[in-house]
Amino acid sequence: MATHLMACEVFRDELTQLFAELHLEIPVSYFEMGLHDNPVTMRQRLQAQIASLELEPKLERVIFAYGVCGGGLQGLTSQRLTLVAPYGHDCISVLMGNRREHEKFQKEQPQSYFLSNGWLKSTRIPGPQREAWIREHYADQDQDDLDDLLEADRSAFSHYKQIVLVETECKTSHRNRAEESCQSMGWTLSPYKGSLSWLRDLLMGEQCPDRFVTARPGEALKFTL
Amino acid sequence: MSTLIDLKEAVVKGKRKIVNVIVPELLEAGVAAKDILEEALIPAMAEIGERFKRNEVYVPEMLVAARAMKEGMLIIEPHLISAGIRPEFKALICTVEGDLHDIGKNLVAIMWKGAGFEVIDLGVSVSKETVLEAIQQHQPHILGLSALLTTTMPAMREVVSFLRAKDIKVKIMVGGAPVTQSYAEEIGADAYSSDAASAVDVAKRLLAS
Repeated sequence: MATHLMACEVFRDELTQLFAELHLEIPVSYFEMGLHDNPVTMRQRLQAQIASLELEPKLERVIFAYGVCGGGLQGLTSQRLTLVAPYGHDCISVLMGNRREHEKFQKEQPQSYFLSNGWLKSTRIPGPQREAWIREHYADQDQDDLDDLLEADRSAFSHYKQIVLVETECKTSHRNRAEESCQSMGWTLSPYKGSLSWLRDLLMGEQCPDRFVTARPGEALKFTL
Repeated sequence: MSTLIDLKEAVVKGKRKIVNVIVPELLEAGVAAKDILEEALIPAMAEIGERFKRNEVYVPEMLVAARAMKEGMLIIEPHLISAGIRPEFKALICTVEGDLHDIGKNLVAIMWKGAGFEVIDLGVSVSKETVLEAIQQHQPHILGLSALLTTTMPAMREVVSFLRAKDIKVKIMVGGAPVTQSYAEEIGADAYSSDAASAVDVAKRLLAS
């Protein structure tokens, strides 16, 4: 079945490895990380891409390397294409391999800041890189105001105690950044053994309803939370 | 002499020190605390909230603005009380169990307080049993529940169904980045607010109904 993959940049290393391992060639549209901050805008961006993919006459299906991602995937629809997305919360669920496990972990250890290999490439990780970004972005502020911004931003993370780093069989690793962040924030690093199996099954076309949300032409993606 | 416009600008820019100078100046000049609140502090937070939604400002700016407003509030609160302005409604607010993200919840609490509500803030990661106890103790008119994560949205659903099963009559308003109007309806909440600025109007409409 002619398929197109829409993916978050967060999964680039993992997907590149899986394409090589599975000898697959699926066209991919990557979107920048962090779109989930504004689910409405995210939905508009993804829906616009679906609209342009609908113009490709041979295409039958779009798969998503995403979870519900703050609601950004909720309600996506196509008149002509079948849409399939992992029934997970986000990249963390997808790499953990189970959304219920993710929910349970969150409930039992809410002081956890979850990270994946891909997220470690972002400048938004609390610690030295985020501070550098703030200093650069607010370079026009005087020192007092800049100190206020840095302090306020740091306070937004004060309830976290640990980084839960979901690691998989992906060969590239940015674990040193997680270690840097922990050192800067006074957190501990707790590795979690995840896997690429959910992404692999997505690429292989699995559609088991407990693990994947599917919208046939005319239907909308619906994640029940 | 500073004006309400200067104060609003100082809050938007998160300039706490300036807020701490302008508010007493305005009070000294005879400007009513209620006007300071309604014409500068609340509109400032509404503006920063709008800018945040449009991705024009980021979390640190939002936080410093909220701190600036809070400091302004602390100065005018005694004046509001001495002017005889008593809270019209009592509200309870918290984030749901498993969710420690309180920026949105704190903003709503500030806005509700600014609008004259008595706000009892239960804090973060509050279980449904604790919510029930607090309702029985404080008898609020409205309960605000916040969740930032989709992983904790099921806890929001649980609180609502738990309270409904106990036949608790409090009005329930929900919000948080991943929460939507349709989710609020699906779980049986009474109202949804998309941001802190509209949380006041939504709550007032709900309580008038």
